[in-house]
Amino acid sequence: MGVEDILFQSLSGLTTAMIYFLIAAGLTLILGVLKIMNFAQGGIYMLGAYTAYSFMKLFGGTNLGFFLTLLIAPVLVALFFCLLEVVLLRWFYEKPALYILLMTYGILIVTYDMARMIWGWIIKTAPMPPMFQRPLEIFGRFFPLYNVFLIFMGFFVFFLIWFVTRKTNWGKKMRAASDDREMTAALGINVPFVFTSVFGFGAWIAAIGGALVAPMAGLATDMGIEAGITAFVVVVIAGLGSLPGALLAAFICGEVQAFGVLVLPELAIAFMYVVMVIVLIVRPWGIFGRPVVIK
Amino acid sequence: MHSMKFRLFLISVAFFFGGAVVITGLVTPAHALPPIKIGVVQSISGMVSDFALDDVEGFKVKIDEINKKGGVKTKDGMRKIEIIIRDNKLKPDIAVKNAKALILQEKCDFLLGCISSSCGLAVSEWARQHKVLFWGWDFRTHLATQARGHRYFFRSDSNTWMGGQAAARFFKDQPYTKWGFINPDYAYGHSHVEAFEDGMKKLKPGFEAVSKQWPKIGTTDFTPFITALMSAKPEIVHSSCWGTDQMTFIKQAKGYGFFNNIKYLVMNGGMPLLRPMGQEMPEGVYVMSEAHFVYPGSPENKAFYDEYKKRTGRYPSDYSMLGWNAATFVLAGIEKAGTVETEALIDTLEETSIQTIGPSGIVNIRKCDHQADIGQSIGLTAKDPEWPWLVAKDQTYIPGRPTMRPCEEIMKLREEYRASKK
Repeated sequence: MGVEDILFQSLSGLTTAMIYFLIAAGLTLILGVLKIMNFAQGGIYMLGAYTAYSFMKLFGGTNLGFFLTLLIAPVLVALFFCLLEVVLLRWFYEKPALYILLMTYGILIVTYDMARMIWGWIIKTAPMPPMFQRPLEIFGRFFPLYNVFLIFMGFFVFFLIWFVTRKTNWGKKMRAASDDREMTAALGINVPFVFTSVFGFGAWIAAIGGALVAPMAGLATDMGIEAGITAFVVVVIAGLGSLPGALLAAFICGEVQAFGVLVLPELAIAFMYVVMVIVLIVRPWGIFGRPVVIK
Repeated sequence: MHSMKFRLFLISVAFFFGGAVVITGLVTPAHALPPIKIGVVQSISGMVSDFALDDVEGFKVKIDEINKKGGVKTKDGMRKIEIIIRDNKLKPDIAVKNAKALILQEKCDFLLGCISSSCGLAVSEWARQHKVLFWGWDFRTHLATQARGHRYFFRSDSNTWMGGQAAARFFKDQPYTKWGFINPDYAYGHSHVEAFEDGMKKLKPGFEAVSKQWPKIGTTDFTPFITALMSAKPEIVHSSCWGTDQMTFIKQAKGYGFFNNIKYLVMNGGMPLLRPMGQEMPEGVYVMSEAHFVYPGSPENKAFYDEYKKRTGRYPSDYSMLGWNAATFVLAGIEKAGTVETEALIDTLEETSIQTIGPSGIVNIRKCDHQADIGQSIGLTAKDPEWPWLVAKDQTYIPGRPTMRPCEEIMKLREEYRASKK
């Protein structure tokens, strides 16, 4: 195995990593601020992919259409889930955690059937925009240009989230509301609105993840199941609520998968879970997590 | 308030209708025979949906044709066929629950199904224990008719053994010796590789498996598998991935220039793959199927196509034809036996042959393992101005019988399996 092979494989691992990150980042954001495990995250990802598919087809599979879709489709999906949050989830923040868990799970199930009703059972594929149909030559081999775009988008989303949460007023409110809900409300900040917007932002991230994956994968209504589990594993390894952790964990999972497949293909499916188990044994609160103090 | 007259009126109306019902009941001849109920255990949701719909619709085309003529002729008279379908969502435990419900609650006469190899094996085992006839369609693991086969299980589609052997028979004459493999990590995928390797090792000197990849079903990101395969430098890659997996693999592999230098064989490369891929499907890919889209152009084939298009609004796939085959077999058996009584029906089905509308022509059930001897066609994908999807050109037909494992070997496998279960 030459150096070139290793570098090439790690590039492919990076692609995988970015997909994992996009699915998990929204989950970790929602978990960190709203303190809820959003079971519906996989479903949001799936709806993001399907909505993007419809828009891409509507725009005729063009380059412009693709970028328009990326602008419009995830926002629509996020708005829909904001609505769901206002109507269904708001009531349960003060109640025992179990209620909201069940609610998000219920939303997940409804999402699947909704997708089936709107888009039907037949498996679909979104058109790959023409500008990405040329491969890039790296180390003497071809690497899909679209993957490079995906990796770039992954980093872009990471910086976007970091910027929003650290550098904007909105971000300050988010962090305040997550640390101490009552105090924040007492300061006159509209906490329910902050929560809704965070949920929407988390949904947007998952939806754009789905939209980005749409041209490079087949779409089936159960694609959210796999994504949901992946998101969960990445978040657990990362440390609940940590964004840099999510990126690192996604990177670890992606590269472990990429090299594991070379070394032990039969066990390819297990690698991510093995990492999770090791992390849970050695550092149960995740790489960047904080030990939970039970009051 | 109701007056006395109004009450009398109501009572007389009641008597009139009551009397009419009673008299009608006495006078009408004995009601028509109850329909024969076929319980279908199918996986309708998610990534199998394309195949699932095709199986069922093809099946229904034949059943409706018979029902229009009054049903199938049994010793007691004409009986219509009723189909009850249950979705098992690709989960074996739900499949078994469905089987139980269909037989015990819905009182179906026998079972049909089941798409996924894991579900099929589970239901087959249940059927064996409860002595219920289970007609298998669309799930291909050869375990079902070989090591784990039994009296109560029949299959009208080919199995992975036959598929692999057929492919080996074709590829022994092709120049490739370095093979890569990418197959789904469950019974179906493993069976395919086992069968193909067995055939190639016997028929092709110099055959070498340079890389074997095992993605799990539902993988959305094949990039590590693609790069691993390519770095092993195979001349050709064998794949039995299906549904969204195969579509995703091809889309992603294209970006890596996979198809520029490596040939590709899709073991189940019929319409369910070619149709959604459309123009994104690469040309020059080997695709194998029991019945490719435009083959053969017989009048029966055309009639089936037209009927199917009328019913569903889309063209049939190989799976539609396999559904039709299953229906034809089952109906032929019932008519010959004159009954749906399990043991008698099984005895008759063991010696049933039907005329299929695919390239296989007449297909027979082999008595020793209850497997139909249907053959395969291998072609190369090519664009066709008449269709929005690619078609399989230059097809070679490989007859089914010679690809089946010899009976003595199968009986031995079954003995070994039963012994290991004790």
